[in-house]
Amino acid sequence: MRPGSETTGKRSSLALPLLEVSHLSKAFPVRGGLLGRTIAHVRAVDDVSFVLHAGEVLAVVGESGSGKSTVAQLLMHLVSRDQGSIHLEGASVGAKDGITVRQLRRSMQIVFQDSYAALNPRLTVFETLVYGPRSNGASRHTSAMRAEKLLDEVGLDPARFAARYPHELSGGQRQRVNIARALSLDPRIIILDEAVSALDKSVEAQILNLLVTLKRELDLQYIFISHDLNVVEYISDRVMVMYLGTVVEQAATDAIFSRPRHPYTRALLTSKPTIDPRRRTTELPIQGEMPNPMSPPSGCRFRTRCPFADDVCAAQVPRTITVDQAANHQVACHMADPLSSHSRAAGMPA
Amino acid sequence: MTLSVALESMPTDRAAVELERVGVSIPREGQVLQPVRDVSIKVARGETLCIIGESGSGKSLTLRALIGLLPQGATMSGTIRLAGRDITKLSADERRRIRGARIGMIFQEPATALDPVYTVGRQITETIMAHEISSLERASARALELLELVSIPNAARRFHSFPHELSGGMRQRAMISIALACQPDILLADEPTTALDATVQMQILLLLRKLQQLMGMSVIFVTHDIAVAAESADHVAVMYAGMIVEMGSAEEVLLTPKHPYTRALLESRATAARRGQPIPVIPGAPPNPGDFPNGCGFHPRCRFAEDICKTSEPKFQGIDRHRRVRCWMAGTAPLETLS
Repeated sequence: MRPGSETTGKRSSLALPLLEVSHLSKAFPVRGGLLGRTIAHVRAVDDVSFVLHAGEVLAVVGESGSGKSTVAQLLMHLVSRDQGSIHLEGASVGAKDGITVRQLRRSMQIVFQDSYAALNPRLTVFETLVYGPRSNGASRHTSAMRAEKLLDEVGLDPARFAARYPHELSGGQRQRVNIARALSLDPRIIILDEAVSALDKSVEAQILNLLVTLKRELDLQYIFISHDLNVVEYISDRVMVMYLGTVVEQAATDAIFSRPRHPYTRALLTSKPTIDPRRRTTELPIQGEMPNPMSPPSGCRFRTRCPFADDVCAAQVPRTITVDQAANHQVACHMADPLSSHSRAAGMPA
Repeated sequence: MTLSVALESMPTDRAAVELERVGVSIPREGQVLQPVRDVSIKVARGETLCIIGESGSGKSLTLRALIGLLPQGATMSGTIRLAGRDITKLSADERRRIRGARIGMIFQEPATALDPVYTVGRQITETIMAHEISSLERASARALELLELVSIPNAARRFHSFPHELSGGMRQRAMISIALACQPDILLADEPTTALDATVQMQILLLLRKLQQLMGMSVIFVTHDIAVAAESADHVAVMYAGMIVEMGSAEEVLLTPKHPYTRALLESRATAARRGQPIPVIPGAPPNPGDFPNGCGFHPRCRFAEDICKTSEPKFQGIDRHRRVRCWMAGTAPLETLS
């Protein structure tokens, strides 16, 4: 546990969060040499804490290698966590007095980027959609009725699509099937891991509209993992920015986009391309690329690319500071920390 | 670095590259698909043309026709001229020589375009030696210069790296340096930044802009991303169902689009301003080359479509010299008043 991370326990809302993730960590072993021994560990997710409240869309952004997809896999228990806790509506996942992984997956589902790889090529759309309800004890008849309703909900005509195989569908249609399957057990939360990124732009907009409608009608919450900041700004209520396995900043969407505090968030925002040819980007957002996660920099992991890096950034891991209670705006940067010895401490240039 | 003689002696009054009524046909299961039809474009020296299109629009095949890398069995019609010279009439050998020396190409996936078993330095050196008379020593020195030119840090060390030892951004830079190895007049780029992170994407776009100014190349850039076009294009061509439907300067096409497809594409973007409201979308999906509609290829998805759009293919009309639209309704009252 890092110093100062207790601030993540403070919540702006008094209501019990739907999902509470605390100090989540995962290190993957790296094998090498002749005998395939473990030679190092990649700390893919390191002390990640966040909450998801009812009705919210939480976006997770960051470059590839930032750990955002590993967070999704840890939430779904597709990989097991090393440390940390996940509470769903107050119940601890995997604990003796909590809920089982099976129960968790009824409440939380995931849709992946590759719509084709995510579907079993030997099952028809109908078979895919009845699989979950059937294996959770629903009758044949109930499951069939449910499948038909789900297809309607995601905008696919059951009469035309139920008997088709995945290869007989377009990318957008396949992603609709994946969304229908995610909905088949009435989840509260859906994790969308770059779920619209591989689609054609005209189809992406359709799927985004569908997601917004479904959220409203079915009372859903989303964890929306994306690299497209325009889409994030459109759909999310909160944004969590990750870098090399750690959360560097999180806040309400408006606060992130209008008052970003972390230099990495600022760099990400400048790299958002314009669609107005008269306003081309002229300044380079940041130099270089993410360092090798097997040997992350000491102290602040972003310091090797940060234009403001100071001695303290190499020496100490920055504390997570709440800079704005109303927006629940948290930043892990020495410059935002009034107690740090950084020369620009708490007085970052606007 | 000196610019090649070929480039210096090129007459400036001619387009560096010109495609005239280029089409691609692919026989499949008894029928003949025409994934690219009637594509005419001109790119002046030092200019960037972006071809915007969704999957199946024919944008990548157009590039492949230009460089002569069409899939097996595919045939090309029409004329391609490089600096005024018709290259479609040349022998296969001559075309190959021109392709390597005068045209460079970068692809979306540098990981698959680079050879995994040779070092980056060797691959660049080999390209130089295949096209220019050069000693190994001189070719290697030039390869190192190229790696420095594309801003690869520690170029001397990276020279000996294998592709898998480089990050995605570094691999794309290495591939750009191979494409530039023979100082091409024309650089073709097929979604070169799509697989990259946003920060790295912007680095590569700025790098390409800088290299183009430095070397005076013409660039044809294929992308599905309007923002990438806005960041790099002088001119824009929008492709749909195998044809160019709209063309003009980047400002004209992206700020005052005339074709219903271009308009809809620009409107159907998720933006902060639309929060909480549905995005205006184009219904349906782009068609595959096997089932391009009759008449105007866009008519089944077009809210302005009338009977004529379903039966006859619209001509590519000029609004002025560079600005063209392929739409029956362009300039008519319903399209102009509903914008």
